[in-house]
Amino acid sequence: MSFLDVRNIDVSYGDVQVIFDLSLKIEEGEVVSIIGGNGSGKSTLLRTISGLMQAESGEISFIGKPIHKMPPEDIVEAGLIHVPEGRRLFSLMTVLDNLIIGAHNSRARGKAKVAETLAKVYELLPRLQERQNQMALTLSGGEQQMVAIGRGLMAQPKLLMLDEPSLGLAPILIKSIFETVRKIANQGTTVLLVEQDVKHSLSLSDRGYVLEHGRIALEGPASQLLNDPHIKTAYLGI
Amino acid sequence: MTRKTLERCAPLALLALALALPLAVQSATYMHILIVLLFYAYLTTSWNLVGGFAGVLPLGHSAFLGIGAYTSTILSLQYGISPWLGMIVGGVLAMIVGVLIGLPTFKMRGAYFALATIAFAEGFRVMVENIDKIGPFALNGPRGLQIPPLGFGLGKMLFADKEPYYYIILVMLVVVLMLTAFISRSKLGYYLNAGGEEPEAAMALGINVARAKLIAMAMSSFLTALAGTFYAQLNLYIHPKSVISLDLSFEIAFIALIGGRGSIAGPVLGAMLLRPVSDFSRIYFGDTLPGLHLIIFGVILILVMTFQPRGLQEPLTRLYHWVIDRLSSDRRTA
Repeated sequence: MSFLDVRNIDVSYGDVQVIFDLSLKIEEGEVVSIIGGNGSGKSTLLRTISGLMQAESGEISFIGKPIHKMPPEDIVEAGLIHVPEGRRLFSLMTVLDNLIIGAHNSRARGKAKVAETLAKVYELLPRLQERQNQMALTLSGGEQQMVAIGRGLMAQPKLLMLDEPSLGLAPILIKSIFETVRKIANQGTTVLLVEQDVKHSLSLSDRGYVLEHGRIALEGPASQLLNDPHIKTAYLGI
Repeated sequence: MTRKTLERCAPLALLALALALPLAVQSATYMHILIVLLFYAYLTTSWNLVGGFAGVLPLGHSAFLGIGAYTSTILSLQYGISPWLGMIVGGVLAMIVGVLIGLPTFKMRGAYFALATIAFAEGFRVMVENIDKIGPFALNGPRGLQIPPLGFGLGKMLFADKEPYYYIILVMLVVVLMLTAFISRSKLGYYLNAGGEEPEAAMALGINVARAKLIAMAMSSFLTALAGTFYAQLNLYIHPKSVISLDLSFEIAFIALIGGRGSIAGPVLGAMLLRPVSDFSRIYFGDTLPGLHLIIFGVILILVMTFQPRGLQEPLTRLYHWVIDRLSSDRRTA
């Protein structure tokens, strides 16, 4: 039994089907990338796994427990945390309050525990400590993305799902965000990364899936995908 | 005095001033204006639990006011039950209705939610206007209900003078303000705030946004209904157009938006600014330009939204802190 096991799911927005009979597996400790162009169904897949949307058919199980019928709050309790696309900070709260809200679930709650996780998050993202009393909306894009990732970490994820953390950032910041993701994985958190930045995300991942029109077009070890001729022409433009 | 003691004393001084105010005001008209001002401050503060903290715009709160007013009045007219008890019954009824409305409508966003609440309140008004009796309870349709001014006393919540009403609504306002202050610093306050701005992110962190909103709605509708009983006992006459009107729902929203949604002081400041406008324009222009106050409200709203989108509480809070700072002995270095 895999850590996360998605089996044959179909997902639609009303009449428009976006994901077709999709299956994927993630093992504990892995970093897995899902890459694909706009509209290929990447974000929809994450929303379905985290319970924000319901699959029409198929099953999803996490550490042996079926989660496809659970509401999002129970899925979070199980340890699966989704950092949605586009940061989505609570803009009128301080950075610190944003982070603390992340520690809402029962595994992460409690004063001592929150302080401990917070120290870890600050160690990983020292910039946030400097800015902890600032309102979230006053931060730069890169800093906001760090808060979003930090907020996800505060929830003590067993599996962290990141939806396009590089969105709208300068190349140098993208690099630092990906380095952070790698550090998170090295500390033992399983990471599912959804990205358009194929080169960066595959080079830090163990495995990858290529999503096209809601179907898995290719899968394999990340190094192999990086050298795949189809990926080279379609996504890397080489 | 140090800054801390000053910050603690300032609200108490304000409260003392409010308690002493009836001694200075002799005219019953002005007394009534003050009572209505506090009544609106109370209503808007109750509304603020949903409309401010949860980031939605409910425009049908007059329905809860109506439920409160009608419940306690019917119970006291037909069964001789004290309005104080009827107040609680009305509150519970309104709370149930509030949750029932919230269940389907909180799934809607922005204007759709606002429209749904308007539709509900209007539907409710039309029903009450056309129903003479529900079982044994006489609603009297559009003619409304009259409370005969017989047998004054605290138990009947009926008084010959204005002062008792003033103190009742003042106490209600202080209690609801303290409740709001407590909630804004509680977990619920943060969940509402988070779910109001970024529901998706809040849900992805495991916050049950819908439940937080329903709890807020339950409290808000309960508290609003209490004000309904107060309204009935103050005016001794209720009819659908007076207690379930859209004007009232809109006025609450106006006050909140101008004063500052989601803040604690905002609704009170908004009421202090807008109620006098409303009352004095009625006194002086009531016969020549009826409805003038709504035009003035609109102009004020446009100005406030353009220059202070977070309401008047923001500059006033800054001023307040500045004054406290000037007066305190341990001044922060400027």
